[in-house]
Amino acid sequence: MIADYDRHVAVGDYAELFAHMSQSWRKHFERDEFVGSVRDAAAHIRLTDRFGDEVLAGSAPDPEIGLSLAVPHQGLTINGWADQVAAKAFIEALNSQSEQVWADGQGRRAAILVTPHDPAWSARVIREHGAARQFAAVALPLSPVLLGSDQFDPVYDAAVEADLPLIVHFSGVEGHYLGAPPLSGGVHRTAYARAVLMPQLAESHIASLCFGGTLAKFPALRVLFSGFGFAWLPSLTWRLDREWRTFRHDVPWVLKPPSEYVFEQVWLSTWPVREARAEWESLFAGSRAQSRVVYGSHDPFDGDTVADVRAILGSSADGVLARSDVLSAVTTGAVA
Amino acid sequence: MTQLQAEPGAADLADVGPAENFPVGRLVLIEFSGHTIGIIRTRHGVHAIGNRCPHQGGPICRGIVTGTMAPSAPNEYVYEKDGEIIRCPWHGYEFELSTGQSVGAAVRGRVPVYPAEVRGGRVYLALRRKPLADRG
Amino acid sequence: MQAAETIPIVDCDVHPMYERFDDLAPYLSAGWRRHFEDRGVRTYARARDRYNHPNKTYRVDALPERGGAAGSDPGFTLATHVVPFGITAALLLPQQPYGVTSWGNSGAVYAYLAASNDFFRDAWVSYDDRYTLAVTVSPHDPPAAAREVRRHAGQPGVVGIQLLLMDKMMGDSSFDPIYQAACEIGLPLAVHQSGSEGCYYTSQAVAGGVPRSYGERHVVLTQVGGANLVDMIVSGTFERFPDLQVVMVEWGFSWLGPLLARMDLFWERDPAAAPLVKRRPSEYVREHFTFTTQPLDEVDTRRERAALFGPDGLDKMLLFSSDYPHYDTDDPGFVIRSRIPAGIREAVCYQNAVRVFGPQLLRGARP
Repeated sequence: MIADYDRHVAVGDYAELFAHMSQSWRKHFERDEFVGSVRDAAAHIRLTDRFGDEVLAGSAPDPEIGLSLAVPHQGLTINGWADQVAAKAFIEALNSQSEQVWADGQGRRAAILVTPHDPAWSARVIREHGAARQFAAVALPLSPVLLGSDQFDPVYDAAVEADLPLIVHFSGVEGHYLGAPPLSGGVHRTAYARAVLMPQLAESHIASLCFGGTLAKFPALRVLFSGFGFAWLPSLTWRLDREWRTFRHDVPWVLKPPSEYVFEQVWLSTWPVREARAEWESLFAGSRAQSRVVYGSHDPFDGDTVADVRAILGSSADGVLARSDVLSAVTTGAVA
Repeated sequence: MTQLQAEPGAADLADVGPAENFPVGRLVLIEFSGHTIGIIRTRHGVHAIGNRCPHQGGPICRGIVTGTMAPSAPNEYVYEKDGEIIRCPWHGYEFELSTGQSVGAAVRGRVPVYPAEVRGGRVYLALRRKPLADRG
Repeated sequence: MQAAETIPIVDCDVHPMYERFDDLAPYLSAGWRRHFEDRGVRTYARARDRYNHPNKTYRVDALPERGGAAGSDPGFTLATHVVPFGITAALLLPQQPYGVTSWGNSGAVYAYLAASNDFFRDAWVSYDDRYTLAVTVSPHDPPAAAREVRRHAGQPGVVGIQLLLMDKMMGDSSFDPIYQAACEIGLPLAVHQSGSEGCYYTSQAVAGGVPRSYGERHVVLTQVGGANLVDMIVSGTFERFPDLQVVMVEWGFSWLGPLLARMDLFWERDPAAAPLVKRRPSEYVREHFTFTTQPLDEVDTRRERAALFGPDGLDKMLLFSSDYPHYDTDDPGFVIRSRIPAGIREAVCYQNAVRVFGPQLLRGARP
């Protein structure tokens, strides 16, 4: 069974979400400028400065795909919002949309949207939705606080309890909107530069999860960094381990080389698979690192089809395409 | 009970000087049969190590003698083994003085360790590797 | 210790220091001397109350026998580092000037940098032909920096320009006067971390947020090198300055292959997204950038080693370096002999450096 961990769904009109809200929240959100901003929210993920494109709803999966995981990317963009209270109402409406429209509890699953700005609330949301078959993961937008901070422990606790993996996917406003996570260096004015440097966010968060002791504290926590590529992983693990060897006594809660935690608890998705052709052959195929990679089409945004993945990964493709250990046994059992 | 390994009075242990030459807690370098050996007396006895870090061959005897932080729960520091650890002056890798082993198994390879003992107010050293079984 | 090879070895990252501020006095006006006596001189960039190194940042065995800080004695460095390892040329990158990245007074910055540059020419470059220098400039006042660069044109042993960075990335047009001067006199830029990264609003940062400890920060510090490289390409810097060479010192290089592939892929998909990029991005990088080897990634398998040195064209882009006298040094004997693949040893040890810095780099070569 082929699993696609990175498919995107969106509403073209916020009226669809208002149906899930209380009348009072609907009245708050109904203003013209917010309603008109639906395109912005749907477009950030494209990492482009083209303006005015139509909202893409997401296409039907390749028939070969037995399990697809929808990540509602409009919800990820709350990491650029100023009003983090309204953001919670917004993502809860998206969660209802997932439950009722985007996911069917069988081949089509969705990620529960939560917020880094209120971990206690997020833990409650995970516990509320976690048992529903429609949900197979938790999507946590990024904030400027690195994930190794213990302020996120309630989220990890709830995710582990619900046996759901955490998905971290960029929203597209990182390095762009104030209050969203910064990219490295200074301020990058072009979407192209931001797109190129986006994977470094995953690097920094993985380093934080290792050096902060999070992965040690939550050995059952599974984290999928999605949409960030994966070719950079060996360089990162070499650097993680080297710094640990020198600074172990400064972070004594890191009980083994950080790469060990990565090889057990962290996954990366394939998109854009073409950038990894050289590294796949030289470093991943047939090695331990291969076990970290799962298929994420990133559909419908210049996504990779199953055929695209086969073209690059060659004989290793089937193993990657069918990888399901990042999901809970309940999820994979229900679909198989 | 010391952490020495040789049977008291073993024939190949050489006298390297009075104990006063080796103040407790200070690593003193001596030249012995063409080798630089670091000798440090501790509360429990005496350690002798070779001057070569297994990482890149750095002069480990120039490093500091200290304790270390034990593997712990997140955000806790548990200081231990004071005076029993040496930290390489290059990349800071930590090794146990008694066994030469890397703390936390962070690196492969050991610092060379040699049998040494204090007897009758004098320090004795043998230039052979301490067998694995007798370390620690 | 014995010489690792009989081939020339260029060490592209050696950090000299002056022993005391008084050493710079002859190079300062009375007015500036009084200013610095009154206001003090901060010679380190990193915020030590924010990120503090748990051990020592220098090698204890690099402390000169006569006293003074590690790297402050040209004779000791020669005797214990340059000569034993058969180093034909050491590129000096003075580190005390990194502190100016936290100074607000531009005038003071340039008085200090000029004095420092002249000091290291007199005390080190004139001491031995194996010492070569990158003169330091900062972004506080680019026209003043350009004047400082030109002041050293044609000076023996001055082979590069150490460009300090603050909040602006290297593609910013404010750097153009410096690049103009560099190209005019034919000197490459050498860019090294100052320590300010991730500390201030006036410095650049790693992606994502605030790493909690020195070690965690050090893992991802390499990202800032990538960001500046991308910024130069995206800004069309090499279209404007086709002769400009950039040496990235101590930023690592194992992250480069994936970054180039991603730059090329996204540019091919939408060339109009980066209109100042006229050619495939990786081409600019191969033509204009080189990277020093320290700290060389420690890999476990032959396969990983082949992959580390594998990316297309990397053999022409690497420059051996030791980072003497810092704690995370790469020992030349160990690294050259057992970690740099034999097939590229000559390129990495000196040929690439001579191409970038010019044949005067080897002025100290013994017959």
